[in-house]
Amino acid sequence: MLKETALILAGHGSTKNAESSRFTRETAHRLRERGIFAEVRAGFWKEEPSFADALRGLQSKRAVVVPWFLAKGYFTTQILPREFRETAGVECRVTEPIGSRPEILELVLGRAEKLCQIKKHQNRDVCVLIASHGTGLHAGSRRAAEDLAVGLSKKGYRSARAVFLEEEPRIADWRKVVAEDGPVVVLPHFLAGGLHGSEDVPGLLGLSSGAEGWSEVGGREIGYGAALGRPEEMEEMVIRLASAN
Amino acid sequence: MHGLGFEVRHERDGDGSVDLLRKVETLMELEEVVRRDGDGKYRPLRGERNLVQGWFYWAKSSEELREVLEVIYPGAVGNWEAEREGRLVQGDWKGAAKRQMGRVQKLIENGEKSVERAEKELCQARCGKSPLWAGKTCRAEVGRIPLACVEPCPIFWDVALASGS
Repeated sequence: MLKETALILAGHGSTKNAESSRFTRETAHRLRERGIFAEVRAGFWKEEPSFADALRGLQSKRAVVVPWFLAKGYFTTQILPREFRETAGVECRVTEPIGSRPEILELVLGRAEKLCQIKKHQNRDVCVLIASHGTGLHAGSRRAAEDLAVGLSKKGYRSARAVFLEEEPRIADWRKVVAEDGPVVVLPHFLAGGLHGSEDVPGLLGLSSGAEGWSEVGGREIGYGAALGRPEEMEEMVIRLASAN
Repeated sequence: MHGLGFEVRHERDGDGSVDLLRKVETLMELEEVVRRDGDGKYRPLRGERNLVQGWFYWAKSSEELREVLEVIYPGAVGNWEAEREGRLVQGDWKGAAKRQMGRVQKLIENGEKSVERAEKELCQARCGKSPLWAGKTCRAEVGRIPLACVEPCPIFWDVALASGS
């Protein structure tokens, strides 16, 4: 069935940052090479190819659209179903976003563990923050981050909370959310390549860069995790989403 | 030299020897080529008349050629086919703006002038596509794929918003 179906990875993209879409495009190329789908395209809201361009270029009559988004939020529930309603003679099915896959929690846990191991910190001494976007437009974005915080809290960390760019509690107010002392691990709930995870969040935390690793900010040890979305981590998730009915 | 297939290169690189051009091996690599201008800066507008020269891609089949064209001018082949078959759908900028977020939607009420300016500054001055949504026409010529623009792109909205501020 997938052999007769086109895959479209639908991402946000950017008119300003060339790197924002890199991993979406790279994943699309990797999946094309594997020959699982009839055709593979990446399409974006804010850069070319647009969703419409990605559809128009297809020769297949059926496409499965996998949202390259971390939350079941405004884009995935409102914009994508509308933009991929049957157009250009292609019957489209929009799947759950990649952020809905259970592997995301595993990836986040792995990033937290890796940071703790570098400094040989015990989980019980470390406060963990999931730094996410959040939006007043849809509660789904917040929920996805809070669900990850719940998953992390089961691993014995001192605390695990979600903080946001556009909702309370704000990332800039992170000190109010964590204990008064001790190390803090911050895991960006953003897809790699975008400016939020690589510049905005580190800036709000007082970090000089968005590189994975430990820094000191005003006497506190801050460990910053790698953003999500590396092609080698995402490829199988995309296939599972596209294969599910 | 390559066996059967299609050689894709910049029109301005002419018919000269491929030895003078850099061979682009993969579609991902080609994407990196077309996404940067001559100074290495991000080139988000694929129709912009500043596609870099000096490369060639060898497509081994018509399917691969299609993929190559999709990277250089996304949607162009599909639009061309749709136009030939009389099913090319084109709207106006207001219909496209309605599907955007708040700031762009506001252009519908008071952005007519900003949209006109953006059409001049971006579409006419920089882009090689024909904006059908602005009343332009686009006809195929022998040996040329028409570059139709069926609705305003994200860069267009950026320029229109900047021009109104």
